[in-house]
Amino acid sequence: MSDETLLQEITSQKYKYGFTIDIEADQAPPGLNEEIIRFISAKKKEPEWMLNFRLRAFRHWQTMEEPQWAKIDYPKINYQDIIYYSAPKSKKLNSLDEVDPEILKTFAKLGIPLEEQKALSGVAVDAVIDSISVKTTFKEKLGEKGIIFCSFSEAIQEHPELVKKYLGTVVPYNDNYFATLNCAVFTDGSFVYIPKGVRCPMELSTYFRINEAKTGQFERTLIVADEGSYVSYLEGCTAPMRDENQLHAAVVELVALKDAQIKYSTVQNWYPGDENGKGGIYNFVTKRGICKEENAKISWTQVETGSAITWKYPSVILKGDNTVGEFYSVAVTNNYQQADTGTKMLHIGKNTRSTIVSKGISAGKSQNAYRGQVKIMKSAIGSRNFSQCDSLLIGDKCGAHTFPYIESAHSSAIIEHEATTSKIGEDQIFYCNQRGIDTEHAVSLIVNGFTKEVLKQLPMEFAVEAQKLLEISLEGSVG
Amino acid sequence: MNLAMNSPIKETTKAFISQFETGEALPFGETKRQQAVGFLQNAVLPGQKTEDWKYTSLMPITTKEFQQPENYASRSLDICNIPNLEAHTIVFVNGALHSVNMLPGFDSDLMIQSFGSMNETAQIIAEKYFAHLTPPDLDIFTALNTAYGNKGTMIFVPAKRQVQKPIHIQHLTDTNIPIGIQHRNLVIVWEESSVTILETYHGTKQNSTFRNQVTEVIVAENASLSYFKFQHEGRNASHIEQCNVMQQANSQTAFFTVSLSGEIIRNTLRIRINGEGAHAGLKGGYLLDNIEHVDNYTEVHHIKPHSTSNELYKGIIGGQATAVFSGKIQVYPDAQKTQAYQSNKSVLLTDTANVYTKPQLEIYADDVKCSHGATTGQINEEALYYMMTRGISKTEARKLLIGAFLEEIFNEFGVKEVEEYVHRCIQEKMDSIH
Repeated sequence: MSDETLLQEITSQKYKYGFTIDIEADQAPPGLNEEIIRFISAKKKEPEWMLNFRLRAFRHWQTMEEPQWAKIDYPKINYQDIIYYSAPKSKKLNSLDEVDPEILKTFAKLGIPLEEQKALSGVAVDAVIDSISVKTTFKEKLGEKGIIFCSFSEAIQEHPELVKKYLGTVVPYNDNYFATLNCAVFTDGSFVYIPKGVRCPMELSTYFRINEAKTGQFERTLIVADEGSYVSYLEGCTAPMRDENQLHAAVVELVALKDAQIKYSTVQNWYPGDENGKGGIYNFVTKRGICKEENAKISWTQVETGSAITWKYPSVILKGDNTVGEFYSVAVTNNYQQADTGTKMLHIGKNTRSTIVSKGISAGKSQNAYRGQVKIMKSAIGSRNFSQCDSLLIGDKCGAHTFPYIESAHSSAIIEHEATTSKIGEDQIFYCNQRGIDTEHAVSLIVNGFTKEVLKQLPMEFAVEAQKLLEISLEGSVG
Repeated sequence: MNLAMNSPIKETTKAFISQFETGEALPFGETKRQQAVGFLQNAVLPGQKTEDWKYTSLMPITTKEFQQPENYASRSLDICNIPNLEAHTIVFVNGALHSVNMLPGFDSDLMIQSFGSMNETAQIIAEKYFAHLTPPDLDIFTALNTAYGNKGTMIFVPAKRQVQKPIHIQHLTDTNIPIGIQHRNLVIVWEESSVTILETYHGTKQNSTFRNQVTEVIVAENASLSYFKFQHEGRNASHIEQCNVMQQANSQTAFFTVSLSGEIIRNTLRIRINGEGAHAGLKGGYLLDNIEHVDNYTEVHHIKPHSTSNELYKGIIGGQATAVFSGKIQVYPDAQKTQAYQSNKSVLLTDTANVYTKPQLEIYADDVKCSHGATTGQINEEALYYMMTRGISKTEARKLLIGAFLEEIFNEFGVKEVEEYVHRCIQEKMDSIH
């Protein structure tokens, strides 16, 4: 099969999960001002300090300019044209039967029905539909261990001391344009607290969906792992087909205390826009974790296949001695998608170690950039970093870019960085063809091998979905 | 960023520029000069927020006052001489032409001329190619050079000439006052010719100097050029250079940049490969101590298919010195079958030294092989220990390792005398670093 027909097949792969749920939403008028923020806060019955947090962020946001440095290109966003609050009608449910059947159907279409998950995989699901948590399962079971896994609004009500203590400590309210916007208008998200010495018995998972038209999704996630605890958190996204661009500006904060370990996995499959680059989600996400005390470990794994624009740099601040940061990423772009993604590893403590493995695949007319920073501070004696960024190009209309920043201020630090860019070798395909494997499968094999290093980092439940998503994005062309 | 006319940075810039203003202009390139003067009206000095100057502060240069160089006096040039090297030489002392010495029996079509004393043919060529590769408004330093620089070297190698002996451009600063020097090189290597150029910078006193240089190089079809830059002007000498190269089909280049001393050194080397089958080689080495600062900024543009480039920069950083490396490889949409490799390796000797590395790949064609690698580390303790167990002192072992580490940068230049000389300079500098 020639490259051209292969390409045509990718571009003709329609977004399988595109559909719209019809739930009458309780929403704010479009626009952004202090009134709207007060409305959101009142609607969620938030305490005074939370409102102040939002307002402070909003006032700061008004003085900021939208960043221009990323290698992405998009029409100017009109922030006054976005609806900042919309909630599904039903709330506070005790069992699955009370969940809106439409929502259950949605999940069924996605291949992740709550029941099945509950029964088979033992995964607790905090499903977020349009900015508000509908259902949190397995809560009691987790409660026995003292684990808190709830929606962010609930956490504000029930665990204000924890939220107050950690909110904004990793990503401060004035961090960057999109994070600050999120601080002002976030509607909901997830909150996790793992108490001292507890190993979370199951994978915690949240599925996000953008539902109402013109609804910006501003999620906020805060995960705190206390001394000696362990948690693995899964986040996955799919979105219905839309013509208008939708803004998604989430913030994720991870705090790992002494000896704690957090593993955060993402499969991101927002609607990428159609084959002409029309529509699609703008995904401007700020994700950052801090290994606050000794021997903590934070690991980010992400499979990015969706969104018209991805602007995302999950980072780790290695503050405690002997802490470890990891970043594993597969980013696939097709058609007119643009991705500018990577990580930051900030080494502050002694003997801190970080690993970066990033695999970018670009096809169609897409642009895929890795942007990362490894910074070794003077105090980071004996630190170690290894980075590897590989790009695979499919077709001659796409671009693959690498922008690493390496800064070392200590002689005992060892930093290694490697990056390669290439296309799938014709000899590799020929070798497979010779052995009776058709081109399609050969390419699939090669891409599988190319991304394996990252995919194997995903928890079992997720790896399956990740592979499915890679298929959707590139099937027919590379797989 | 809306800078009011009287903002502090604007004032600093104005004051900085005014130091270099001069009425003496070159006999060619008037339009370009006017353009540059116009650009300078509203130009501002780059700050830390300027992405390309993120790691290099210009404060050490902009806070000093520089004077116009004194008229040259004939002083001892011994320091610039490379033992046993036979080369055509053109010598500049404090920025002004000192002498041109051609070896006996040279090809009379070969032009090695100073901007100040060019013949008519040379002027016609210069008029055509002056600021051809480097737009006058590229940046503030280029504009400054284009507007007020009036010294320079022109090297023109006509078609089908193999220049056997290297051409040596010597720069010497010997001054008791801080001076600002603007120099410009225009190198044209015509079709099927080949030439080797060596440019050295030396200083006799530890006075502050600021050198702002623009070099333009055109390498035509099937031509080849080897260009060695050796910067050893003293630890208070600052050097900002913009070197723009254009390569045509099947041309070959090899650039070597070795920096041994300087307060602020910023070498911009931008190679545009604008023809099929061409190859560009870029090598750089630096050995820094005290508060020396070297910033190597390179760009390789692969515009046409089937071209290759290979880049290797290595450095040893001691004291409180800083090394910056930015390397960009850009492969244009039609430049299929490009092969581009880049590597940057740094060794830190102290905990007060800093290394910043920023490699970039921008690839718009699919059938390419590109890679970049970067490492930062320290001297291998095991290798050191191995040598010490065999009776080599620690100092000597370190010298050996560092020498070997940097050797790779210049040992393919092809002129033995130069390689030996650079090697010896490195060893001498090593003696002062511990």
